[in-house]
This record gives sequence, C-alpha cells and structure tokens, in this order.
Amino acid sequence: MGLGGRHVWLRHLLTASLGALALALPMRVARAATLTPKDVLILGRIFGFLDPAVAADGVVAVVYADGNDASRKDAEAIAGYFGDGLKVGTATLKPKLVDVAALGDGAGFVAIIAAQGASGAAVMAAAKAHNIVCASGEVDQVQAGKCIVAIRSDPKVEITLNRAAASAANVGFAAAFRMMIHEF
Amino acid sequence: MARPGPLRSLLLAGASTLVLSAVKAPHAAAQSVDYGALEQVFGEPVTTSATGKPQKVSEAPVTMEIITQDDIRRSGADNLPDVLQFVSGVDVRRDAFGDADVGIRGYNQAANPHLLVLVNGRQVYFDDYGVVAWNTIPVELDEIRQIEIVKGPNSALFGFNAASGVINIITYDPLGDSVNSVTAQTGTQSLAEGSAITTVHAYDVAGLRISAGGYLASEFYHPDAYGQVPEPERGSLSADGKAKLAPGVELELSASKSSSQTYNEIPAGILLSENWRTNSVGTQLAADTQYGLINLNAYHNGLAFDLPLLHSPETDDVYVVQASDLFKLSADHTLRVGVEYRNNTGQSSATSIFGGTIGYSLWAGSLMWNWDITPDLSLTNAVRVDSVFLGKSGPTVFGPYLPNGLTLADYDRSFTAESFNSGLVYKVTDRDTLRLMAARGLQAPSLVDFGYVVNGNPDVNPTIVGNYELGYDRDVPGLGSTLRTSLFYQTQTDVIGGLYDERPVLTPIGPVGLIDNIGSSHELGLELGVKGHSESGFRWFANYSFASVTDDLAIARTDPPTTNLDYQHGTPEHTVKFGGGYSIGKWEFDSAARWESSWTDYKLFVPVLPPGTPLLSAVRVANYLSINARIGYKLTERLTLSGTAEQFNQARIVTSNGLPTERRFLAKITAQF
Repeated sequence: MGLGGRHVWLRHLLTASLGALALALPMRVARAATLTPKDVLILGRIFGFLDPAVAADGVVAVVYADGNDASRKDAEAIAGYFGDGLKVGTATLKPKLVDVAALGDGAGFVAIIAAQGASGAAVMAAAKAHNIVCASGEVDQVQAGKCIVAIRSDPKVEITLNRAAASAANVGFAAAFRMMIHEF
Repeated sequence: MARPGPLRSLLLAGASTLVLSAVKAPHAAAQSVDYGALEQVFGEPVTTSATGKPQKVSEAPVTMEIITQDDIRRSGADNLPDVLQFVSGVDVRRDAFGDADVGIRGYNQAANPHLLVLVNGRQVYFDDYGVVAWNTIPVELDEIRQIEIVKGPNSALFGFNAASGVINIITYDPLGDSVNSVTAQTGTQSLAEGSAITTVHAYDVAGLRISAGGYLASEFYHPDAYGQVPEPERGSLSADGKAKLAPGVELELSASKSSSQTYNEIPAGILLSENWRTNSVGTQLAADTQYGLINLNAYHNGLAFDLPLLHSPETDDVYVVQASDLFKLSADHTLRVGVEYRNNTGQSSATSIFGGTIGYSLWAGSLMWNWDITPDLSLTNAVRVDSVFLGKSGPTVFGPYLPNGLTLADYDRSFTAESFNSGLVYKVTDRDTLRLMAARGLQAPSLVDFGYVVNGNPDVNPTIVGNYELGYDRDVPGLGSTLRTSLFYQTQTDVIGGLYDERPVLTPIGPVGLIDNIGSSHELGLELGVKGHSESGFRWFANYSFASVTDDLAIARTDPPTTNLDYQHGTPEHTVKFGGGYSIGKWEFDSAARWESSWTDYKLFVPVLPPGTPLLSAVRVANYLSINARIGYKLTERLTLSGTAEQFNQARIVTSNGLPTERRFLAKITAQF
C-alpha cells in the first residue's frame, strides 16, 4: 500500500503540513549583535574548549570602541554579566574594561571580548600578538576577519568561527567542538 | 570460518602505534566527545549516533529521540524497556516479568531481530538468535547519561541490524563525571532490587566507575505456563575506566558480567525458562590529532545461553575491532572514514542447536561526508560495504551430510552487502527545521538462521530495509515546546522467514526444510510528537504514531495459522502516549499513559494436546491503556524517596501472547553521595 489506498487522509495531512511550512518560510528572526547574559555564560563554556586550555585564573579584556558611548555601555553590561567571574574548568576569569585604543598588544589578557563596534584591526593585532581568542556577538565582524568567534544563544546556540582569523592568531579549539560550529 | 587469532592483535597494535605517533604537539583539549560540556554549550543533548560526528540532536540528519537521566528518574521505571515505552514510534511488548521486546516503527516480534542496541557503542545485541535480551544489559539506570534512539535504518554507520533503528545507551563519563549512588527498591511481585555505583578519580587524569545491580522477583500470574517457570532474577557488574595518556589522548577500558534467569519468549512463540550469562571486555583509544579525531575500539562479547527444557546450551563469542577518523576537510566539509573487522562464533554440542560451530568474519569499510552547503542547509551522505565470510564445522550424520542435508562445503560462502544513509537538513527559519532522508539498511541473518542444526541455511540473504522520510520540527517557545513530525515509507525485501516458514528442499538424505528469504513487506508511517516544559516546573509530552504494514510474503494465511510471521497484523496501527509532571520544592510528580490499538500475536501450544489440535493459535491483543505515576520526595540533599505505580489502571493487561502484564507498585530509596 502506498500513499493512496486506505489512508487518503494521510495525503491530505501531508499536503496541509507542507502548506503550513510554506507560510512559515519568510519568518527568520533578526540576529542581535550585542551579547546577552546567556551569551557570556556560554562564552565561558566555549573557552573550555580552547586548545591549549585555560589553565589558570586570568583576565578577559572587554574592549569597547574608542569614543563610542554605546559601545562602552555594551562593554560595561558584558563585564557585569561576569558576576563573580566566568568559570572555565578550574580557572576563574575576571573582566576588565579596555578602550580599544589602549589595548596595545593584549599583554596580560587570556581572551578578548569585543563589545559592539569594537572588533577590528586593533583587536586582531592583540589576538595575534599573544595567541588569544577574540569573541563577539557580531557575526558580520567575525565573517570580515575582525574577530575570531561569534556567539548567539537565542533562539538556539549558534557559534561561528573564522578559520583564517583563528589560524592567524594561532588559536585552536578541540576537534569535537569544531565539528559542531559554523566555520568559514 | 575465521577464529580469533593474531590478526586482530596485530591490527590493534599497528593502529595504536599509528595514532600515538600522529598526536598533535601539546594539546589540552577536553575528552574527544565530552557530552556534558558540549551539551552545556549548545543547550541541548549532543549525539554521535546519527553520523558518527558530534551533533546537536536538532541538526542530526535522522529522526531521533533522546531520553535524559531526568526522564529516566521521573519515569520511575526499573528496567530499560519500561523507560523506552513512552517514546514516539517505539513499541514495547512484554511477555513476562523479565522479558520484553522493543521495536521501532513496528515489526516488533518475540526475540525481535530488527533492532541494534549498544552501550557506549558496544553492541549488546546477540548474534546467535539475533536478539536483545534487555534483562542482561550490564548497565544500571542511574549511570546512564542519555539513551539515543535513532528511528529508521542506520546501517551505514553501525552495520548489520541497525535495520529498524538503533538504541545507543550512553553512560556517564568515568573521567569527566562523578556518579555515586546506592538504591534499594521493593514492591509487588516480591521485588527486591538494588544497585550501587561509585566513581573514583585520580587527579584529573584517570577515572573509574564501578556499578553493580540486580533483582529477585516473582513471575507474573501463570496458570497455564509450560515447563518450569523460574523466578526472574538479574545480576550485573561492570567497570569503566578512562585515563588521559597525553593531552588530547584518552584510553578507556571496560569490562562487564551479567546473569539473567527469566521466563522468556522464544521465536517459536512460546515462553520457556532461559539462563543467560554474559561477559564483555573492551578498550577504546580516542585521540585528537592533526589528522582529526581518531578512534580505535576493540571489544569481545561472550554469552553462555541455555534453554534447560530443550537441553540446548550454547556459547556465542563476538570480537570487534573498529577504527575511524573524523576530520574537517575544509570549513564546510566533514569526513568520517571507518573500517571494521568482526568475528562471531556460535558453538554448541554436536547434538544441540548449532550441531558444532557456526560463524562468520566480516570486513567493512565506511565513509560519511557532511557538507554544510550554507549555515542553514546541510547534506550528509554515508555509505558502508560489508564483506562476510561464513563458515561451519561439526560432525556430519550421513557421510558428508549435515542433519539439514547440506555439506560443510556449502557453508564456505561469502557475500557483500551495501548500505547507505542520506539526509538533507534545512533550517527554514530559526524555529523550523525540515529533514529529508533516504536510507538502505541491512538486517543480517542470525547464526541460527545460517546454522541451526536441522534447518539452517547458509544461502539466506540479509533483509534489505529501505526508508524514505520527511521530517519537520518546529519550536514553539511560547509553550516551551518542540513539535516533531515524521512521515515515512519503509520497504523490507528478502524478509527472513522463521521456524515455520521453511522452504522444502529435497537433499541426498531426504526432504528437509530450510530457513529462507520469503518475500517483502512495506510500511507507511507517521509520527507526531510534542514535548515541553515551563520555568514554573511543569513538563509535558504527547505523541501519536501511525503504522500501516502490508506483507507480501510467500506464506499461506490459514486458519488455524501455520506461521507466526505476520507483520501486517502484528503491528499496532495507532499508538498514543502522553504525560506530564510538576516539580515543586522537594517534590516531583509525574504521570504517563500509553494507549495502543489492537493487533494479532501467535502462540505455540505444546504438542501434548490431543492429535489434530493446532500448534499455533492467533492471540488478539486488544487495544489497551496503561497509566503510570510516580511521586518523588527529596528527604535530604542526599536521600530521595519515591513511589511508582505502573499500570495502576488495570490489574492485568494482555500486551502480547505471553503472560499478562501485571500492575506494579514500587517503593525506592536513593542515596547520592
């Protein structure tokens, strides 16, 4: 027995389902560029897949764009999401607000989080100088090679990695983790 | 027939050397597939059972369900089939207290041979009869991280017997997780049950988990039982150790023993007392190398089985060596290359089931290619080729002839079988996912099909299972729910006949009947399911499964019946399952119900009846509703009390031709430390 025969109603159900699906097609939710508390929490877990691993307590540079109030407020919010610190294995990471103009070569930081508008050459230069990861909520900036990894946790967790940027900064992740994210 | 020999040792040693020499310079990655850490990142269960690649379940190119440890605890069940019974598309037929058969998408039968069941990737399916004896699986419910249920064939990854589906039981990681608990349970049917699990860690480099458990109980009411009815019991002991050999390199060693005594339904359609003793030992090396994720896996399963009434003790040994490499060829392309060697042997006395020894060795190669065409569209194709070399030894009875009229030379057979899985996953919107799938799976003939002393047939072919499927998932965040639907069409060709479906053959020693392929069958099915929870502590699920099976088998349907092979009438068309729960403070309340439409089973009556009495009889399993409920109370941070009522709505329900399933009340205390 195929789709015909005794169960014609199934064919109708399938048709109705596909129709409903077609109506749903255009509804793609716009992606937020700023990091949420959930994003930051997950970032800490993502840092747990860094290779080599974060082995000791450290400081994360939360970088904002020079002279950009919105960016600074975003960075302050991100730093606030750290609470008592991000747990990465047995290590605890604390945030430090840094003006991108004052980031220098990134010495003293175990990672960089770029607030809105802060990704760019200065951030990547610091990442390359000390082989540290740069994370952002701005997928387009990561795609442009201005940061290494982007995170979005709503409605589902999506992680994007720029392979060239990661390679240039000599930043690696565990292979199993890389199997589960978008790379380009 | 190939036997365990130096080849396997050489293969393992060579491959191990290769892997260790290729490990990247100092890497400190987490374990190769750290389920717990990945689940924490992605916010949903992670699986490798779909393609061999770690994936979010929502992105897997198969239809699958995950049962979590929370689901297991809240079910109140004390055995795996009872945990599985509320999953959409999963059929459970219980034949006795300690005997149940689990099927996926119909085609369930006594000693169901269509389903592959694994524990951490190690098969717990027995090649002798092609059966899963759930009572023997050496795992305690509290040490399970998740149960992964793949619906439809997945032979391109797992090989033979991943025909109707795969159930992979994933336990907690002995290195990354710490599970320490003791449970004691009692209840109706004179149940006395307990388990103990402990994990020890040596710094961050080694971990060992040891678990033990078992029960003693009384069998369900059995006034018309045939033969001696044993009191059901189970015992199990297992150990799983893992160590980091180097950054990114982990070695796992595992071993288990189990024993089971049950009243069990055999494929002929009758309950008999059965004794099982199993053992296993295995090792797995996982390395995160510059060449990708390399896995080497080797294990041995041993079984000693006896049907005391028939005086037919036999042993079954399976040796498996697997190697795979999973790597990203580029940003969008992931490949998995695998090879497998397998050797199985069934052995009995000259006058018993195999009339000597039967077995085969198998070489297989597989390739999986995953292509992320866009961030929202991915295509996965997997193929596998199995080459099988069959052999038999044992005494002949009339000159060169075996009792089935064949010669040992007739068993020098080899054949090749191909399987594939293909899946397109399209994330239509942030909330909607569409899956289009096609697969060709294989169900191998069992060692009994090949080599049963009186009717085994070396020329019987694997059953080929085709599956064509459309799936659609939609998240409904307002309800905290996910809707999952699947519409599938499945074909089975070269269906392997049973004991009653022998093909008559005239041999030099006279006419005999041989087990054979007897035709085809196909199925149209639909699954609708929703599962969700709220922040306020409520949870719910509901699912509906429809399955319409049509047989085209070369057997006569007569009254009284002459065969018990009847998938068309032996599969319930409609199944509805629903339930919900609520957690508040120290309390947990859960209830679940299952309704199944009627179907037909077949029962063998023993030949002590008056002449002319039919041996087989059709048994109508009427539609039934079974409702469970559980209440849990956290006495302290470490102690939990729970009470479960299984099938509390009816004292007895006929769920197969076996013993009617009885209402059960269970009381349990769990200590975690």
